[in-house]
Amino acid sequence: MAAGGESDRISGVLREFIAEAEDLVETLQAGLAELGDALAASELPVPRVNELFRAAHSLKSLAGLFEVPAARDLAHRLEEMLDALRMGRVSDAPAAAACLAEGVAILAQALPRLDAAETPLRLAEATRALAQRFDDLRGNGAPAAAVAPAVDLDPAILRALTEYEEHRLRDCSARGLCIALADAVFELLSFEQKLRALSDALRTSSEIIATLPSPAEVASGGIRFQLLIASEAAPDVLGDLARRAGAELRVLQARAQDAPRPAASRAAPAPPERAADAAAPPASAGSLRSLSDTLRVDFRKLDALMNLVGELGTLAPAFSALGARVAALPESAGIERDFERVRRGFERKLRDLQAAVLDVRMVPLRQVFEKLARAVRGLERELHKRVTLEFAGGETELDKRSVEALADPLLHLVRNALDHALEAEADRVAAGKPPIGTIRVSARAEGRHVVVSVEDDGAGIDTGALREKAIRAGLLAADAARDERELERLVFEPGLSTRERATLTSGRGVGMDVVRANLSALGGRVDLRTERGRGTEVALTLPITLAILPALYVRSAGQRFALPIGAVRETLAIESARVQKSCDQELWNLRGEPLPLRHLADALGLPRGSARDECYAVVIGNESERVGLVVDELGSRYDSVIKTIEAAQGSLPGVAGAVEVGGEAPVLLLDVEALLHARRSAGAPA
Amino acid sequence: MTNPLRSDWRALALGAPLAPAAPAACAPREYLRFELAGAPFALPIEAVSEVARLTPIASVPHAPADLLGILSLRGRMLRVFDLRARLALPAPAPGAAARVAILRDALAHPVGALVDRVCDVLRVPAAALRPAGRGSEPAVSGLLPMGESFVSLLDPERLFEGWRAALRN
Repeated sequence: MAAGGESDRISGVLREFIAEAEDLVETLQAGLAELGDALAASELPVPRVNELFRAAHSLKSLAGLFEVPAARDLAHRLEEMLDALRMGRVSDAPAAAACLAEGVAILAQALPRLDAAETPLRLAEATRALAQRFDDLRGNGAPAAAVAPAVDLDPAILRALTEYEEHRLRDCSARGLCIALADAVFELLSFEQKLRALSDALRTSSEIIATLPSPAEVASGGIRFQLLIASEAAPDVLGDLARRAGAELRVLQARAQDAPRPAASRAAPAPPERAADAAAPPASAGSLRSLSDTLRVDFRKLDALMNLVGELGTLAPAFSALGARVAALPESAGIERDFERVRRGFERKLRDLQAAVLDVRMVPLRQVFEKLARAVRGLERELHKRVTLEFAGGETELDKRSVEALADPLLHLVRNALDHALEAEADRVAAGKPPIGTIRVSARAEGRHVVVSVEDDGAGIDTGALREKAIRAGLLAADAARDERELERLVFEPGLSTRERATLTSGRGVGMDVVRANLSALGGRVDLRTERGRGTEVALTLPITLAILPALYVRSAGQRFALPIGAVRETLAIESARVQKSCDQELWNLRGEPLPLRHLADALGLPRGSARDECYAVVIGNESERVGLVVDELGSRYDSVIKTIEAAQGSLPGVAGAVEVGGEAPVLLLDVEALLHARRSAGAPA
Repeated sequence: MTNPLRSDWRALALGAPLAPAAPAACAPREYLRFELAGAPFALPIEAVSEVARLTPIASVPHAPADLLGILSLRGRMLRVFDLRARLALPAPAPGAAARVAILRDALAHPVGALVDRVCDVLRVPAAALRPAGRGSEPAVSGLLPMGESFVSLLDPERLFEGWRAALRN
């Protein structure tokens, strides 16, 4: 896929992957070293293994996202092995740890050489060898005891536990720890902080086996969290901790030492859950070596930098004026030439500086995709639904601000798709679909827009039900003709949702209308296509706010304009003498086909300026409808930073944005679609 | 209830000490005074976020009559309106003293308004404001006394309304 000029970009993407992957590899290396130490002291540090498991899992997702299959497969093996380790399915834990360390070391060595052709092959080979050894180790492992925990637990909660969580519960229960459920309802706005505070408080003296969210009673508008914990601490101490963090504690199983002698089934001394273990941040200790040169920066600092550069740019014309005054001095004698040289140098560097600062603002959409991938993993568990999440076009770049603003609408769409659109596995199979649904998030640059679409292969929207609801809500006349496009539009009406059930993830009245409002605020739009039984696609189209767009500069009506290169088919030199006329229409013979000409100045409603013998035509439009826009001069092509015009979203027809050029009037970026449209509708040139 | 503004102003005019009970009416308010086609105009100072020099403006296709075009203010692209065209005053090419008053709309988006010359900041008690008189230009919300003459006070809200309407057509 790397061809010619793209190789730079590809290695740029790889660098990005390496930068993030090496963080995780460092975490893994540091964690495995400590795991080795702990195992030598013959104890299995559960929080440490969990941490390692999470790191391996993140690495796997990351490699999947960046399409580095060799690294993904190796990470997958590591993850499997760590899972087996924490589930107690491995008999020889030290051997497993050594094997894991070897695998991580292979990956660490391969990272800087990922672009080499032989690296993936070598990784694959190493992965196969590791897999064999893992299988051997696991084969010897005793299966986890399938004993139901002797804990008074709501069956609904029990069902929500993952296999590992259940294993932890069983293990802690058998060790005679106090098992309790901390129950709290937090407001939607602040639940993340509050939940973190509660978790941190509980971790000081207990292990959190599972965190289970559920919708609170509708009236409260909050989220309910139940934290299943196990602790050696006394129940009243735990109760105090929980209360201070806003939760109620219910003891499900008393400590063995408090209870009248339960039959403790396990003799091995249990390692105490130390706070330092459980709440330890990802190991930042470890290697100081760093392959990447990345640095995190507060975006506000970039904004400030950008403004400074902008203001610096406004000084350039003042320099020019000053130079002219120096030149006019009788005694200037050559100084003006030096002055001019310095001024040009300054302007050139200033342009470079602007370009460099702008380049920093551009980020690939992959950043949002990663957030989505993480969120979906949580949702899958919450909704007990599996999904294959696919991404494409993550390298499409947008201004950081737009990328950030896209995160919420996208997450909402993916939630909707997962929660409502994808059917239960049994239903899918019955409908002849693969049991696990697919959500595909893809991005592409399209002229002056970036289109991000979320497609699912789910049930589609029941437009019949929607229609009934719309009629009941008075949004549609009862006898209105059935029009699928109209129904698809109704999805965006506030308060219309085909599912009224309020779940934790969607359907809380935050619907498509909010997505539409979000996109409108970004100057974009939302389109929806749905087919019953086949799936739904929602496409978010947003202007390349501050995005870099290659543009062709032209001059017409004494003013410069920019046209998006994507819209330009070709450019021609036009001799006035060879222009033909058909009624009012000017025509050009373009390789035997008539090409209608239209003066850009006319299309813009600006005065045409004096007639010329030679001018140029920029051919736009599609195959069946081409137009040659006649311009006075053809300029160069630049990668241009397009800015939106303040508070004029959509209100200036034909103008898509403006480009800053030092010392001159801003250059307007023309909306070619609107120009074509103007040609059709406007009868007479202004 | 009698009009407190009216009575306070009368007390002030008679040379009575300022009544502490009604500081709002007597406290001077500040207005940016400027010239349009030789006539004095003013805007409440809080409506003007800055006064910028007139830099080159890009003409806009099919623009309404009072939209001069797009100007870059430190990299932000603003629409600039000609207040003279809006107020049906003669509008020759702007001279060297011309400035752009940057106004903020309700959402704090900047919009430029071209003026021929910026004069000074007027300090006038709110109560000194006189009604603009029947049949006057709707964007003029009142008259501020200045010596012997009066300065037409513009209402930024009504200016914005007009601009919005012009762009929507």
